Amino acid sequence: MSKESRSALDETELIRKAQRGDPEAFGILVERYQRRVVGAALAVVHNPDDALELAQETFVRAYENLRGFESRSSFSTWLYRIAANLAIDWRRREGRRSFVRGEEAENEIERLPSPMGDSFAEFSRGELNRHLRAALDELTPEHRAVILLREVEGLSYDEISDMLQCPRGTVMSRLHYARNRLRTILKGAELS
Amino acid sequence: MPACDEVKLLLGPFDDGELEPHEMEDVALHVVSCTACKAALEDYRSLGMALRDCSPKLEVEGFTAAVLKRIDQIPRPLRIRLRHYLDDFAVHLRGVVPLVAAGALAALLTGWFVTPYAQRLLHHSPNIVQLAAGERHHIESPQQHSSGGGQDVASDESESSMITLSDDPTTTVIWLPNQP
Repeated sequence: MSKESRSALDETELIRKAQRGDPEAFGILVERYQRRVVGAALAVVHNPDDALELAQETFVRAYENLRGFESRSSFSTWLYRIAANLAIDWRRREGRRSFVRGEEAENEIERLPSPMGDSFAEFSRGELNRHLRAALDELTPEHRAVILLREVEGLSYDEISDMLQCPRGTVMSRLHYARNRLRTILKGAELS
Repeated sequence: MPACDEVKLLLGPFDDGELEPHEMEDVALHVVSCTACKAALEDYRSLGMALRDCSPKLEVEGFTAAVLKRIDQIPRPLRIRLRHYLDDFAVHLRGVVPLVAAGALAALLTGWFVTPYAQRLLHHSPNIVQLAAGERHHIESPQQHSSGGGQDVASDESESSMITLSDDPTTTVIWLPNQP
């Protein structure tokens, strides 16, 4: 099947075929969504190898449970939800890091230093990236996931809420906290 | 106009376009006149760009193939296997039926128009019943022919006890002509 005809195939038709057990149709769906799912997985687990493994597992689970998909939500949202559930399991299983509970971390907003200097745009690109990665590592997984899903993957608040299975208000407050926290860390690095 | 503290909470959603229209308007008006909030908004934007810039772009080459390989290893339910079998069968059947039909037609036409036997059947032979009747007719005595024949073999039997006909293929038929 040519690339053009593949892209022209209607998603509903592809899903219907995949539900009937057609692996080729499912393969086209994987091609369409792989970047988004891998990106979302990376935002959540923050490790490329784990993200690829998680994304792969997401698609396998999606295939196994495809009969249960009823088009109430979009296919991408459904995939994100599977990825999020797997990420939660993954974190439990790995238990690599102990982190502050999200609610506790959100209270830290109050303790953020309020006076901000000028924009940190004057950082050199490489230096900024290095500091930013370090700053991201300092965030809790919940806050990191929210800000990466928003800023890198471009998900809407509702999509993030769906994926992480938390209220929209929580998404907003986590995002606010993460932005301010990163801004503070980067300002500190800039000053030092 | 809302205070700075209130607006700071809304700067992110404002930049993301996730506020109600009236809130968007309020924040926009505030940001124009507030240097601190304007700087914060610029920082958020720079932060967003920097995050996109430093985020690793994962190579997904071979990802689909790896997923499909794993899917292939999943034991499929009988329902799916049966459906696949029937689908495959239907696909093959779809390809074979016209071929078989064309072959059969060609064979028929060849048999009908080309082979000498078929031509003989077509042009010279009346039909098998007539052939059989003809054979039986030959078995009749010549006298019957001279006496104007045309009669049924059974009636011949009643007239001449010397002629015996049998349908049994193992029976030998002996014709004894009437002796003077």
